[in-house]
Amino acid sequence: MNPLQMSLSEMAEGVRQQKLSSRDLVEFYRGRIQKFDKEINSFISLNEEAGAEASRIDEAVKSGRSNGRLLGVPIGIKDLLCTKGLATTAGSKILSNFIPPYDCTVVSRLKEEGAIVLGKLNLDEFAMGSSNETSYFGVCRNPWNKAYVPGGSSGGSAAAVAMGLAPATIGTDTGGSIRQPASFCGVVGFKPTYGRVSRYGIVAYASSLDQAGPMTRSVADAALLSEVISGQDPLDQTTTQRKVPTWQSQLKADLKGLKVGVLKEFVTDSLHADVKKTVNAGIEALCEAGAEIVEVSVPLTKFAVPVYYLIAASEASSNLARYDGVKYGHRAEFSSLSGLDLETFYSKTRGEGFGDEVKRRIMLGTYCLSSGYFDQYYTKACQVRRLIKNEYDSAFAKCDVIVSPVTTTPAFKIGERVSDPLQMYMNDLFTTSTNLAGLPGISVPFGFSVDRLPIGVQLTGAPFAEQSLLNCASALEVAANLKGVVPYES
Amino acid sequence: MSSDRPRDPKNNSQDVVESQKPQLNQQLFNQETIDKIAKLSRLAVSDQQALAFSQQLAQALKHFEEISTVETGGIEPLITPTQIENWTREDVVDRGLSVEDMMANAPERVGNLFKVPPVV
Repeated sequence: MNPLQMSLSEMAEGVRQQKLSSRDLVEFYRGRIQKFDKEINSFISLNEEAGAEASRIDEAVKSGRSNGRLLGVPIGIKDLLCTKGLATTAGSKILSNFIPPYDCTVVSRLKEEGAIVLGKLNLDEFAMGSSNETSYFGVCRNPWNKAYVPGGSSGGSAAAVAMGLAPATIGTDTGGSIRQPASFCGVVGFKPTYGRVSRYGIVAYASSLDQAGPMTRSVADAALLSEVISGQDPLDQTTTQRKVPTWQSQLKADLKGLKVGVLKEFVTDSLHADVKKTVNAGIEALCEAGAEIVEVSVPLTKFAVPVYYLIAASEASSNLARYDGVKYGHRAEFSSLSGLDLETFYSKTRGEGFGDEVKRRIMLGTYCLSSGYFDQYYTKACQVRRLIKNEYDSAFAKCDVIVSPVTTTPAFKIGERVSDPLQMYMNDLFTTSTNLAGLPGISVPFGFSVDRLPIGVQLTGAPFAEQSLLNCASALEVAANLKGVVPYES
Repeated sequence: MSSDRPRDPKNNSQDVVESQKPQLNQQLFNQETIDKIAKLSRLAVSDQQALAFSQQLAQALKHFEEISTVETGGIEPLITPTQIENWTREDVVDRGLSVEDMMANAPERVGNLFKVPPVV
């Protein structure tokens, strides 16, 4: 059995039936990481206890104590999620020495189902970026072409799955950070509805937008992982009390009775011809799978990027105030603390600890929230946010799922946009509105550019209507028929 | 640059000769504004960074100001995207983290206290 061709359920079942051992699975992926990750740089650190944890699971199986939908399955975790005893850096110097004393809820739930944390994955610093280039631990590279970015901020999580360095990973999505790198690397990236997945123990960037989700080789794997990590959590009041459906077992690629809305606004001047072609082919595939295609309009999406950046930066400037060099994290060196001015202490520590993109966003957010500008920027952005949500509500009165591009272009070259933040931000045109309205969204690999870079198709669903979304994703997956198309020799 | 702004120790501003001094964007992010935001943000920003940020933030904000064209009279701002569900839990005592767990990441400590500069 080749672990690169098995679903997560098959792996867990294999371990349960002792057809394969969890230890072998861990060693297999660690071997690949050792061989291939020097070039890709998708992992920031590895869990050195993974092998021992796997052996304990194998022992438990032998003695008849074996439960869990992810029994013995190694999973990679974005280094934004706290893992007990394992360094959690958020891709930043300021947290480079931080070892959490607890697991975030997402990781606890994975472990409860028997999963093993394989290691911690590279990301843009504090998840602020669309290319993985702002990481303190160096850029991660796109496995399909190492001169290109893997996308961001969950670049490591996407690249590791694409390269077969982990069977599946967890990413987070604040403005597209799961879906965009999934598209760039040719994997499935799913952001459930805001409120499905607990944010407890995930390093906060913009709390009203952040949501964790799976990055996988298949839609079925994404459905399963989402089932495991979703659900009400007493430690996060924004989680919903709604029961978590059995998404995986109800997956079907037959879309009869479903209405798919084509976003009228998706054709923009900046849309790359290969992306347009891929999305149009995706629409055709959804139609052939039985969906009725209707046109829908969300005109205010053209303001999604400004609204997103104003709100996200504002929330970030508040969330990141906690990094003060007192309780944990980097502290600047001072010859003596006595007589030292507290402001200098904070400013020097934070000035050294944060990279440029994080500083830019903290400063933008501080500006937006400062006296005299609050209403002009923050309040105004929140008002437009409500109007965007209202437009989506109207659109979902006409359809079940909306189809659109994920990004305007396929992956871009490393270094190409790094000195032009605005150009980088505009890349998030199609993904940010999903977060602003709290909707579920998924990127499904559907084709390639003429330069042989993957292109995904984005599907957006009504709040808590993940099943329709996943079924459409499944139909796209069947039509794309990309199983076995990988950037390495298989 | 104003003298009261904390400086990045890696950047020696004395190396910047008069003719190369940053020309800050005068409209949105002039030197005074950058100084003010950096101070409010508790961020030491070098002269070089201040120049770059001033231009980049001015460019971004100019673009973001597009939203002022959207009519929003009487619209309630949306702070969180899904409806807040109010639910309660039993008020029971739970085991929290130990003091040692909480102190283990402290950059400097004295016993079970975090060491900080004088604050009063």
